[in-house]
Amino acid sequence: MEMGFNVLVIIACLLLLFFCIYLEVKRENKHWLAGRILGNILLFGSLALIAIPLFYQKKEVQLKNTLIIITTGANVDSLSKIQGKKCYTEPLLHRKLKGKATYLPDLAYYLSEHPTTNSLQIFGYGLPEQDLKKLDSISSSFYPAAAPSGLVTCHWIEKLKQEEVFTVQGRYRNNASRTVQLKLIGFGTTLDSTIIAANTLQDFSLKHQIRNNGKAVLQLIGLLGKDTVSKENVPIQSFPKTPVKTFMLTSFPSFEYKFLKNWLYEKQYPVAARSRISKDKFSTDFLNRDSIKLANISLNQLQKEDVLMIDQNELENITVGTRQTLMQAVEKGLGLIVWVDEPNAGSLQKRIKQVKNLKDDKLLRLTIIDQQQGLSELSTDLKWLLSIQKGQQALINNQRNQTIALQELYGSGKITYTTLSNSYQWLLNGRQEDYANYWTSLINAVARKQSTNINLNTGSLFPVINEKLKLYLSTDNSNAPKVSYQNKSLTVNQNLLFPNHWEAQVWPLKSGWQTTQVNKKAEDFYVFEKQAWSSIKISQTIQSNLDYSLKTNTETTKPLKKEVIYKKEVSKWWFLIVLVLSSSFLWFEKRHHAKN
Amino acid sequence: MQSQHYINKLKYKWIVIYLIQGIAICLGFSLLTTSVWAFFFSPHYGITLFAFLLPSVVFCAFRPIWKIDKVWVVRYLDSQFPILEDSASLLLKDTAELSLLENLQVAKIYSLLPKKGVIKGAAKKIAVGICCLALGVTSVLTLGKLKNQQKKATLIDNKQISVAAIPENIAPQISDYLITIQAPSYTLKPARTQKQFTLKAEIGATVKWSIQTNKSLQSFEIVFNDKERIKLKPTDQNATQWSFSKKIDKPGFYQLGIDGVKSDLYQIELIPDHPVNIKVIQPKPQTTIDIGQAAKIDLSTILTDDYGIKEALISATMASGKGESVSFTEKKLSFDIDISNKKKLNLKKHINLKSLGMKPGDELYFFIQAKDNKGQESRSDVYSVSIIDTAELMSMAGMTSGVNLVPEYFRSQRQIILDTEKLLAEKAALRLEEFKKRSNNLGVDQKLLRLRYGQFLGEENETQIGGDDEHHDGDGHDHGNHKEEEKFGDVQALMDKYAHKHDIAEDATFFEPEIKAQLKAVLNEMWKAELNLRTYKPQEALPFEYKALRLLKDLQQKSRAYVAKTTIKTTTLKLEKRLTGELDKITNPNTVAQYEITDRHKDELKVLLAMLDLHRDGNPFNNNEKALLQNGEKQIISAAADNPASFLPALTSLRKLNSRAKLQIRDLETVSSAIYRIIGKTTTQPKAATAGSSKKLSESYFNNLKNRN
Repeated sequence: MEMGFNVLVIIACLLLLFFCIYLEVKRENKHWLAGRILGNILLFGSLALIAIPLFYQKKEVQLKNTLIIITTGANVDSLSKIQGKKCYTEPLLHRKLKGKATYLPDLAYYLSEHPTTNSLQIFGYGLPEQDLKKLDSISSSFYPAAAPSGLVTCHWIEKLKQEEVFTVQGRYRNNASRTVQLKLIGFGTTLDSTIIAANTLQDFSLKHQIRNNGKAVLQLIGLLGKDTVSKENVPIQSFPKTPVKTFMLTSFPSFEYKFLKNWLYEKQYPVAARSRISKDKFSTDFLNRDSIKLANISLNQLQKEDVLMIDQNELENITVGTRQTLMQAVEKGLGLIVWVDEPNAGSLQKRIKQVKNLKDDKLLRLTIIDQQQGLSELSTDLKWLLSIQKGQQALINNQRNQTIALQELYGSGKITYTTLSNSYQWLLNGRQEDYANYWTSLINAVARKQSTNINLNTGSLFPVINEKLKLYLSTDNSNAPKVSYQNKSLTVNQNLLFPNHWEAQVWPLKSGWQTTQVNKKAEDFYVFEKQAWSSIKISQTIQSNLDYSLKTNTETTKPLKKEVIYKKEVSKWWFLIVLVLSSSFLWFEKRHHAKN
Repeated sequence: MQSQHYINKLKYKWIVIYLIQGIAICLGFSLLTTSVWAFFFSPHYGITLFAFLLPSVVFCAFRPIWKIDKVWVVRYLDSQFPILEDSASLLLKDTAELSLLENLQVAKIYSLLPKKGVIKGAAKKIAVGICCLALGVTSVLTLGKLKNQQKKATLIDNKQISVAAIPENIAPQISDYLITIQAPSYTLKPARTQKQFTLKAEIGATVKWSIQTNKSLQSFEIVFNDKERIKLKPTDQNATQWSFSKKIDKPGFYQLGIDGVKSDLYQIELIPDHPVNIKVIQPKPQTTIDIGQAAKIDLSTILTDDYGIKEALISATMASGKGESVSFTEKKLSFDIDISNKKKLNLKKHINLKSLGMKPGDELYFFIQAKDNKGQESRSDVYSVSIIDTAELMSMAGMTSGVNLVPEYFRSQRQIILDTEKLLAEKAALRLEEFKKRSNNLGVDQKLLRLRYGQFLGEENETQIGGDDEHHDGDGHDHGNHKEEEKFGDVQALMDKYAHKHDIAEDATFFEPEIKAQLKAVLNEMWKAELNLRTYKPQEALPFEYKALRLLKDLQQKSRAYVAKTTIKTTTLKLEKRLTGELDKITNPNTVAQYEITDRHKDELKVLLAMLDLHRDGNPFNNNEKALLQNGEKQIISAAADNPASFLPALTSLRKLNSRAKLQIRDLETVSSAIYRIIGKTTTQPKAATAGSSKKLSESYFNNLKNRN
């Protein structure tokens, strides 16, 4: 049919051509005869070619068995530079890539359909992680797009105790030429802020002391000048602090002992204190707790305490049996704080090494190493310092980086030694904060850890609405916990290795705080909006794609190239132009001749 | 022709003189008027112009400048210079028209035309003009400055007083209102009125509310700090005019209750009145007057107050005598200046210690006491001045008893002083060479003395004062290896630190470092004394000699300790119980205490803070939450009463939250922010870390680990 039509057209055009040439030749005036004949040939030739499609062959080099995948973030304008067949998997790219690349609704399905495809080239931010998981370790090379401005990583501890300092740390990429101000906002106030320099990838750390009791959503806001460039929710939960039971034994009632006892008493900690008056005569205090017998200390008693404070003298004074009981208790988790005042003497000799303080500093400036926090000046004549032995860790240093207090592990408990014996002077100087910081760091270092009954963790760092979310639970026994979410009970899977670890799945349909009931106890978690933390997700996607390509692209063989030959039709517009030009030439010639 | 020219010249001269005078007078008058006007009212250029034109018209009326022509000049010449014989008018006539006689007369007077002093009284006229101008200029400068100062003062006052215009919601029943604030009289501030309910008043100010309502009201009350309720009584029969006044002496807020409906909260802020601030510039906190110095002090101080200083005086206490016989006399010295409610005073006082009756050895303690016009007193730090006692310095007491470090050299320094004084007394009788010689000899003595003392410090060289602590390589003795580590309990090493060992055993000294430092200071003074003696200035050398002696005396005193005798009563010992070591009757002291928390508000606020955050989505509060909110309201009220500027908006927002069904994020944030601030920062507290949920597992793991080892 096609062929017949073509022949017909050619015959018709030839007939017309010959007829016209005949007329031209026959014309009396031979003006521009050759030109006219040529004009006629062109006219009818182009007429025929408008009707008949004309093809030409084209060769192209393509990567053999390679699929090019365009993902979000790829530069659409530079797609033409990429050789080979392009496709995309994200429906959101329809508008941008329509006609330029083919849409693959399911990449895994496509790959199983085309087993010859053995490598991928990914452009843009990369494939989502769940898609990567489905790829059956097919090798891929990843060409990541430039990461956008914004948070790259961000982390915080969601569950905190009262008065604890909450810290958000992370990394921010600022591609702008101006500085970005990063603010932690909550309760209608700016809690902390920092500046991210222009064109940098910078770490940040924002702090805030917890003042709420319960749940709250803080906000992390990035400001570029006056424009808000990012706004993310930071959910936190705070719980009442767990009291630390302290037990103090001293050989005489020193100032240090008296002030610390009163301080703990005023902060409502249960304190049992015993200070020696004479042989077997003690003065005892029971603050915020019931009284017990302290003449003979038993292991059972000590098991109920969290921290034991003792001065070196008293450690020597107590009987060998009591000392053994004490160390046994420490082995089982009790925290021990020892005020060291005598050099390398007694039972402590094996455990710590004291060095004489040679420098006669009148003022002591201490630093809590863990928090990099300086304490205010303290006037003291510190005679001894501690030198760190194997298995010991410095807790508090002075301005010369010499150790004042250190900690070590002992069984499942911990021991802290301190040579400072006049920390009460902070209180006298009105430096309550420094006193609190000093003792908090010492006590926190050793205090017996308290176990929780139920621990709930979400599978993802940023649980998102309308996506599957895994909940990980750990309980104190191996009985399956009853978990319900939105008044529907969930099935829990026991972990294969740990009998008290459980896993459940939920599909949150609302954002914000969500509550699950675990053994009738409410446990909360926060579900974010779809768009939340997008810059972090992009960074993670880029990273996981890079990891995937590194993992799969083990042999750095160049992808095989193949030549593909395909036909291409010549545009009909060209012939139309020739048609118009030639016909207008013939018309012009006639007019011109007539004039002459 | 030449005569014509002469007259013309004279004419222009006069015109210029009168013009200068006129303009100067008019300008002066104009400036004076303008400045006076501007001082009392706001400056106005119309006034300036008017004040210029008015005198110029008057001036022209009296002295018509345009009438100064040749005829006028001729008349002037005739009247002023009799020598011209009333014929000057002939000079104007054309020579052709002159008769012979006239021609002769012209020729005669032409030669007589005055060349000098033609313009009589011109200087006076110009001087009058310049005086007027000067008066105008000075008035502009002085009054302008005064005005500026006033302006600044009022600006400052206004700054303090003006309340930033806060848009206020006013009840529709109120048609008109006016608030009059009368600052307490001592502030000397006039009463001011404002059409704003938000108040900013001086402490103790009386505030009067005059409120007019557009309809008669059943009740009208004013509620201060949500506690104090005051019912107002109408001043007219229709109950539409209300007036109330109150003395404000604490900050807070108030509300108007119109027919039981409470208005917005309006804040009351107070401007405190600080006591007088005293800043002493001179003298130093401790002044010692050495011998040879004038016994006087110059006191210079600046006092400032917000509203005015009422009085200022110096309270001086003199301490004379020694030991137990010290007697004190108190005196009040006044500044001889009119203080009269000035805001800033720069006071100076020259105090002659001798006229106060101070003798050598006495001490003067003084401070400045000031009272502001409210009656608040303030005082400066205590400053002390002491006059060195020569008598004691020269006495031999103390040298004869106690530890005597260096007795033989003491006398020498005293001797040098005595000799110097003797030399000065005999100065008039001596020849210059003799005087110089004796002065130089004294200098040599001083040098020898200095060198003797220098030996205590190991000063073998003459070049340095006490600086020879370090040993030289060539001084012939070995000091051992300094880097050698110190050993504990090494007595010899300890002694070496203090001692200065040399070949001469006699000179080996044992001094405390502190004493060494003071000895160095002595040497320094001796060096200065020697310098002055050697340059033949014994008078200048005297203070240094005395100071050296005084320091030596101190050194001597330091080596002595004095313990006072006290009486003591001891309980009688039970001899039968002594040294038995029985403790069975001694009981163990035992304390049991429970800390009672009196204030649980903060805990409630912490819960409330979390609760407010949960309602950011706009959900209304339930009843329990409303109860919590009410507790929070109490806290915010008490905070707002102390600090209305920062907590009043929160209270307003909290009431909105309580009453409205739909919660506004902005209100929530304002209240949250206020509660956050009320909770404040707390110190960190110890807490136990949380371990995993299963204790058993980790324990058995730990035990296994331990057993493996």
